[in-house]
Amino acid sequence: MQRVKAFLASYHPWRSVATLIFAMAAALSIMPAPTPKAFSLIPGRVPFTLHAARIDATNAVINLSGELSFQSAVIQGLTITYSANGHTYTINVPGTVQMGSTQLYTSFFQTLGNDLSALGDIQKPDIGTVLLDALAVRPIPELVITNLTLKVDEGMNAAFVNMPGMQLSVS
Amino acid sequence: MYPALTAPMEGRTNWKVFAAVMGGGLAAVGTMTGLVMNGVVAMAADLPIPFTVQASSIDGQQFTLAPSAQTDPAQGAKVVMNGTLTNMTITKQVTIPGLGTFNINISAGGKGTPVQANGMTVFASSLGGDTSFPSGLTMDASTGSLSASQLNMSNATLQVPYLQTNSITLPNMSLSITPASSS
Repeated sequence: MQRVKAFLASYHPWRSVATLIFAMAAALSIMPAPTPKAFSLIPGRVPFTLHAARIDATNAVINLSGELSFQSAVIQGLTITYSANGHTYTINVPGTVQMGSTQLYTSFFQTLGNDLSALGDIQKPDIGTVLLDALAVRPIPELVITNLTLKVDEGMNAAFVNMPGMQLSVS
Repeated sequence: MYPALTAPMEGRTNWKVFAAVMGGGLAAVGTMTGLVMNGVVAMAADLPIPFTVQASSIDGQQFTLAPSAQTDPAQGAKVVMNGTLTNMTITKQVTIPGLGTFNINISAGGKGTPVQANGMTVFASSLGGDTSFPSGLTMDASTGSLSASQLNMSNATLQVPYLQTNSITLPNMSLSITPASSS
């Protein structure tokens, strides 16, 4: 009883905070370091490949569990390719593509935590901010990426899409 | 053996009956063609030959675009939809040995009455135009398909090796065959 009273008398909140930080540091030190993962998609699934010379997206949310969403986007130089049954289907849009609220689902994002630069050349904001917002699943008010390449092995939903001068070819 | 079976057939054509039957048949075909050309009656179409389809605008519903399967009647992008085509032209260039090359041109859907096609399946080796999906677009990587409840295309051009429709109206249809050199 004396020991308990002595402990309570000497209790300070900062001690519990320090203990928590120490415990977290100890736990992290015994966890294995993350190893870079090879580019992996759903086995047996043929992905769509989206390439854009430039995308300006508003309120983009990158969820490393496998989802990219944005409120709207303007895309320059969009090309979508898909291969099946010995043919390659290519949609090319020379004009400016406008997209409404969009969700993209792909396992590709699971590897981006290790190498976000694989997505493309991130122009705005800086790559550190993008990574932090991705880890926190936080909206990025204005996301600008050039030379974007994105493998989509699950799917995409868009509220509306305008594709001026769209051309689909089969080879 | 019976004599009636070995004897040669006797008799002659009753030209009045023949003319009545033939005239009635031609009138029925002409009436049907006229109704189709005026968009009153829809017909089913199955065109397994390569040709070019152009339209000033295509408004489609229940649109899907997917890769063709090996078992399909033609290869290319398989487009399925219901739609209206304004100022549609179907062109095909044919070469007849000894006579030359000709352009066959079928046009319909002008003068404010578009072509209406239901249950249309098109295998396109290429397609293009100013395209929008105003009610949304879905991409499914498990099938490689794009689908949309609504499609709007303007200045559309499709290279089509195969077209099939459950029904199609061809209002204000006209057919022209011209030498390729004069076009």
